[in-house]
Amino acid sequence: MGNVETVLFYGFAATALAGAAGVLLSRNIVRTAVWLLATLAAAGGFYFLLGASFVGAVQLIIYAGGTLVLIIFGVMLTARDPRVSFEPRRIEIAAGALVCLVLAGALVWVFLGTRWYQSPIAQRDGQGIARLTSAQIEALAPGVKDRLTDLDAEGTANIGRQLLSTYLVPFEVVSLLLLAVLIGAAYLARPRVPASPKIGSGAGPKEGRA
Amino acid sequence: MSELMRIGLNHYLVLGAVLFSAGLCTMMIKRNAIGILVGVELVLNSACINLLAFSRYCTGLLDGQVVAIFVIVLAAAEAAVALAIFLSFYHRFATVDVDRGDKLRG
Repeated sequence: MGNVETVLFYGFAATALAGAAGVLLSRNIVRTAVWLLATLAAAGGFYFLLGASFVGAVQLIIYAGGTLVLIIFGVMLTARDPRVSFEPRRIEIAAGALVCLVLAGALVWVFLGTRWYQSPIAQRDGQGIARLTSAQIEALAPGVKDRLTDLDAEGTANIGRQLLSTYLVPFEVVSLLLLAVLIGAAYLARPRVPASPKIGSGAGPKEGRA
Repeated sequence: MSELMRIGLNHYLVLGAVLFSAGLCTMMIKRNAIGILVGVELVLNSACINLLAFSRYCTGLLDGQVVAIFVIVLAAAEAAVALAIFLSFYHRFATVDVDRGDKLRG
């Protein structure tokens, strides 16, 4: 029963870590973006594996579909030669690697040494609404499987209910923030060339003709 | 060995820690501004993985999923603003090397 989950987890983990290593080591910024796609897609797989199917779909649509395309557009708009590389200094690489290895070791040590709180709902495996892993779904009897689709949809519906009740204020703040981002990004990204007199004189004769 | 094969909270936490460190290292090493942005995305993703793992294995409630959605939306907004800033930077300096943006250095 746990086998499918284990295989999927290690498959996604290998993809995510390979993508992260590619991002870290790649000298070419376009390749960096492609490696990031691997990590983002694997993270989406983890979300599905954790029973958060809606978040997984959001991850694939917004992150892998939207943000990554935005980044690639940024690469294309800001690089005269997309193969140009910025070599870091050797001392920077050594310092960064040292800090991050120490940090990773410390985090893993703390995580594995802590006894985490577990609520009874989480322990009641397979009874919850949106907490079934794909492996557990596969192992269920057909009759249960049919009812599960309703339950799964209800899990997503509950996210919507929470967004509009418990998390209403953050939800509205985020909507305002998105508006601000829309305007701010358009304002920041506009070309900063002073209005050249050519444009005005070019428009002049047209008006005259009309 | 059975500890390793039975996927639990610790698997996701270790994975999140490794991804976080890789993202932080990317932010520290890269000199291309877009590379730094990619590192930030890695860090945010590792945070999301941790949120969902705690939601699934510790609380059993949907709060972690809701917060993860907020994180994803804010990451998209942050990427849009950051790229607009990089474009502006590029118009001014004709490069996205962050070491060139040292006008305010004392």
